[in-house]
Order: sequence, then structure tokens, then C-alpha cells
Amino acid sequence: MNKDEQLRRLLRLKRHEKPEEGYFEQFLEDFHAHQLKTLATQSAASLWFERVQTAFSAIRRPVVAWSAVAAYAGVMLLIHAWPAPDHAANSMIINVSPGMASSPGPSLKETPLPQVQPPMPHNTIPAGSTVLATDKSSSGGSSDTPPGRRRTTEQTQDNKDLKTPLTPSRTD
Amino acid sequence: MADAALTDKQEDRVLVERAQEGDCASFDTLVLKYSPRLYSLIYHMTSHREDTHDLLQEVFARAFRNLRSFRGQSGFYTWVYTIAVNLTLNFLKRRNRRHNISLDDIDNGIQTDGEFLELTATSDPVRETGLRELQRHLNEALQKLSEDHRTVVTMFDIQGMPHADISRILGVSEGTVRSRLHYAHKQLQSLLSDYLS
Repeated sequence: MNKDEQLRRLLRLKRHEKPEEGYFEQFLEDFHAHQLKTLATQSAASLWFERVQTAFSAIRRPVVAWSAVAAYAGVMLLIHAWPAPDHAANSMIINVSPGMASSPGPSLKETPLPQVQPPMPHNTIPAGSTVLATDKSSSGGSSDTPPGRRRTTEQTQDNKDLKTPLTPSRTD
Repeated sequence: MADAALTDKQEDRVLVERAQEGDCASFDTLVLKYSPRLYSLIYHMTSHREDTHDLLQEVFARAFRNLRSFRGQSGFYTWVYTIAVNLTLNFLKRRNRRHNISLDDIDNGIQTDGEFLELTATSDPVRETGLRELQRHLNEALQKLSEDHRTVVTMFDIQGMPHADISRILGVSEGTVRSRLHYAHKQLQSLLSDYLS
């Protein structure tokens, strides 16, 4: 028998080293007591940290674990270090005319818009097109108002208007 | 044999599922089932009974607290064994930083059984030495190994675990496991030369 085999035999002897009789039954009781004590004392933060640690311990290759940590740190850094949009600068550049009022943006508040009625349902008319206001007298028979749009506004008000001529000059 | 292992795993899966649903008795069954093997692992790595007791409690406590995150990709035993290896290695690193272990701390009073007596009685170099003396020397020699070497010796030589399983649990290649075993055996042969003819 060579030395390596003898050594293995010696080491195998250690398999027979066991704790005293009844140790494991007693261990279970001690474990229950330990559980109660831990639940009472351990903080939520330490529990959370332990969960992360245990999850990482499943990944035994340190390269994988550290790559995941580095990727997470990178994403968090990007989120915090990315420059926030400068709203003041935007308002200086964008200049919206009344006809373009449908464009969103803070500069709209700075542009004086004419008083209009609240938009009708399904209203697709740009806010700047004041001729589409429900006040018929003000709309007049302006030729630069698209007839189709006028019909849309009036449809929502009264179905009767659909049967009547669309322009005030014709009703007169 | 394979069927028995499969049945064992299925049984574990049922117990784990019940424990995940809040059945503590199922978890107790798992504790009773695996504590002897885990005790052996931790004890042979620490050579200290009280430390083994504390670490074993912590292993099962941690397993219980993290049971919901256990998805069953590996067997419960592999999972809890990995927790035990990690906790013990961390403990040993802390212990080494704190102080070098005194040889007086090493346990040499573990009860031996009949088979142990028979084996030691038939071994010529051992016959002349007391059993306690042999145990003490074995534990001392193991404690002189590095943690990595001691871990593979414990898992392979003492617990009889195959190289592939050790490789999976430790997250190193089988070649690394064999290499560590080779160097650990060389060192142990030198440390225990009195017992080897």
C-alpha cells in the first residue's frame, strides 16, 4: 500500500467521528430557539442584505457575480449622472405661433392665445383657429375657414344645423 | 441507486414546497435529514464542536429565511450544502484574521464508534498510538492546510463526494479540484509521516 492510499485510509477514519447520542434531536430544539431569537433581533436591512448575499452565493463564479454588480452600478450611475433637461433653455428657443398651439411645451404659456370655448368632443381643430369658436356671429362667412371643419363644430352642437346651410350669408 | 437518488430528490422537493407554503414541520424534517452530513462538513473544516454547532444553526436559519428564493434548479441538499461551505469559509477567514487558532481549541474528544476502533486496531502504525492522539494529530494536520485545500479534502476524502459535485459546489473546474487534492495530500503526507510507512 503506497503512502497516498495509507493517507486516504487515515482520513477515512474521520468519518467515524460523530457527536454524542441524541445530539441532532437536541439540535432541532436549539434551532427553534435560535430562530425565535433571530426573528426578534434581526433588522429588515440585514435580512435584505443576507438575501442578496445568498442569491450571489448560488453564483459560485466570482467573475459572473462581479459583472452583475458592475452592470448594476453602471446603470445606477447613468441614471443619476445623466443631465436633466433644461426647461428654461427650451422656452427661449421654441416660439409657437397661435396656429401651432397644439404643440406641447412650456413656452405655450408665454404666447398669448385668444379666448376660446372649451374644446368640443372629437374636436380636431387647432387651438389657434379661433374662427371655429361656437359663437356663430363672430365666425361670419369667412372664406378662409375650411367648410369641413365648420361642419364638424356645428355637428356636435345641433343636428338641425346639418340640414341648414352652413354659411350665415345663405341662411340670411 | 439512481432511482433511490431520484426518489430522494422528489421527496425533498415535496418537503421544500410544503415548507415554502409555511409548513415548519416539513422544514424540520429536512433539518433532521441533513444535519448529520452538514455537521460532518463543518466539523472537519473547523475542528471545533461549539463553532460547528453555531454554524450549523446559522446554515439552517439562513436556508429557512431564503427558502422562498429557492427555485429548485439544484437539489435542496446541494443548495444548503453550498450555504454551509460559504458560511464556514467566511467564518474561517474571520477566525484567522482574529487570531491563529490555538491547538488547545481543537476538539479531540469526539466519541468514536466500534468500526473506528476496529479500523484503528488493524492498522499497524496506529496500534502503538492512542486513539485520542491520532485524532488530535489528524485534526492538527487538517488545520494546517489552507481553507481551500481543507475544504476539498473534507469533501472528497472524508465525505466521499465525487469530483464533479465538489467542482459544482465550489464553482471551480474539476482540474482545480484534483490539483488542490494533490497538493493537500502531499502536505498531509509530510505532516502525518509518523503514521505512514
